[in-house]
Amino acid sequence: MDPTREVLITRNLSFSYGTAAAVSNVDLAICRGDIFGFVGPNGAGKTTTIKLLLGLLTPSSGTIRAFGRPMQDDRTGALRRIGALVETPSLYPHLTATENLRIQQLAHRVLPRRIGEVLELMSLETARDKRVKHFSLGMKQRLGIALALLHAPDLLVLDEPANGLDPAGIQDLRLLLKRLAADEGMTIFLSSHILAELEQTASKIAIISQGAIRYQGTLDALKATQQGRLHLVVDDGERARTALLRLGYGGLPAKGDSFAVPAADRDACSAVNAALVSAGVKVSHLAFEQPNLEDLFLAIVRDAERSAIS
Amino acid sequence: MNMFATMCRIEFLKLRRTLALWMVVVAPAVVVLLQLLIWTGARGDFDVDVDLWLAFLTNVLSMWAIFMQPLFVALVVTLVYHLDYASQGWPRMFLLPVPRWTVPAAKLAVVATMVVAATVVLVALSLAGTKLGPLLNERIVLQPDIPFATAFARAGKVLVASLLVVVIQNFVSLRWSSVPVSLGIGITGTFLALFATSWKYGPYYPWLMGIQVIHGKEAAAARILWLSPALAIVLAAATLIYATRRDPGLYQ
Repeated sequence: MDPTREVLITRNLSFSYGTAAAVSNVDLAICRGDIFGFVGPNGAGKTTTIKLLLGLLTPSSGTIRAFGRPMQDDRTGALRRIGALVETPSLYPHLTATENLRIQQLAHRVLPRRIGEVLELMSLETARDKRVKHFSLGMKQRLGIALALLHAPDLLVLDEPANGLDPAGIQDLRLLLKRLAADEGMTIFLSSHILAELEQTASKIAIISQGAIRYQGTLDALKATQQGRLHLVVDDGERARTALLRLGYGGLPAKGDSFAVPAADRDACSAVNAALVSAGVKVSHLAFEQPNLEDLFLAIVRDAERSAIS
Repeated sequence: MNMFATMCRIEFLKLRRTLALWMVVVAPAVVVLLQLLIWTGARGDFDVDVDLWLAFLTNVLSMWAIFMQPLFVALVVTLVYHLDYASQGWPRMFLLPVPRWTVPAAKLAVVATMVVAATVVLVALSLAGTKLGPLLNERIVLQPDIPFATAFARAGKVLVASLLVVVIQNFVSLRWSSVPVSLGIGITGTFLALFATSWKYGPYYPWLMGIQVIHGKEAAAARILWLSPALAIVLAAATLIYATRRDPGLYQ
């Protein structure tokens, strides 16, 4: 990887709570400008990994490089460039939104006007002097994100940021994150337990299950790992099978007029249709079905669970 | 040191609108009020050879040292730490770009400042209470000069003697998130002080050190005045080392 683009790199990162391994040999590579989706079911090790990345937990083995330097060499310097929301927002309920932000402003030594800017960015300007204990869940979540954004970090780490947000809030957040990455070159590390939630935002993803990374790469590459299927209903199954065998489709059912065959992409539809029609088969239904992200995600997670059990 | 000062500012900011700040005034006021009630109801004559300014203060300091101050320290330390335990503030604090030691050190400094402030309030209220004395009981005749220096010196001794308890409470609250544990240590420590007085090493029992510098033997009092801060420094250093080495993600 180009070291100038390197933001966060982990090698063989492992951590155990007592004897229970929470995270094993996690290798992650997050580059500048990435919106990196980190997805896994509940209890997969997402939050533990995030705590390790931020130095809130010490790995039992492995290394973390942040902005080209080992994290432990300059933790304070790295934290100056990282904004984070881990689990639920850590907010002091007896303080106002402004006072909560003032804590970050003092520690990060940014100009006080940034408080107004991030409150406006997160649509909280009218609640600036309201005590946080009177905030709704969604407002708290937005304030948590505002805290993370206050010092305009190079890397934004958000753990389940959509929690508590209404659909409009989720859409706003999605647009904001895209804009921060595109316009301000911010690198964003985003965790979720729903892959589809990241589909419209993330440029790369990593899937974690049972504490180990099961996939890392682009969503397109993930989709390409799973073949689609052609669903067919014909008037003469026997003749259709012969035509499909000639086209190179194997593993067909021995009988029946309705079946599915694996297909790489939608283009296969026309080739199959043409072959069947020229063989004199009437096709009453022909549809290509691409596995959706949730199916892919569940397949990977279940595979991991099966291998963990065996 | 700049970052430490910043963390202290942050800790004070977090205390806004909390009970902990009110306690700085309320706890000394209760003791002074109690002493004032005792004086008001006193039937006998007051000894003319006794400086009533100092007599009032000494009585107040005795109640403060043996009872109110240890409980005040337990309550304030618990409240200061509970702010972060209750709102999951620890990860947030440890994600600030500051050296780790500054987080617990700022808490310790803030608590110590509050104890100093409460002591100043105690002396000020004591002197004000003494001044009120003749209006409430005509047998009280005050000397014309207010012994400011002696009053603050006596209160200062009690403060110095109580530093060890302050640091013990800090360590307990840092190590255990539970409010009952933190308050329980303070209450038990104060209660056991009643029995520790008859013990050979009783004067050096941390919760008795404060009263010993007022009413104890001179040698023991002198020893306490260096022993309490010395042990407090050692324990504070150990607390900071512990806090620095402990994974911040485990505070909850």
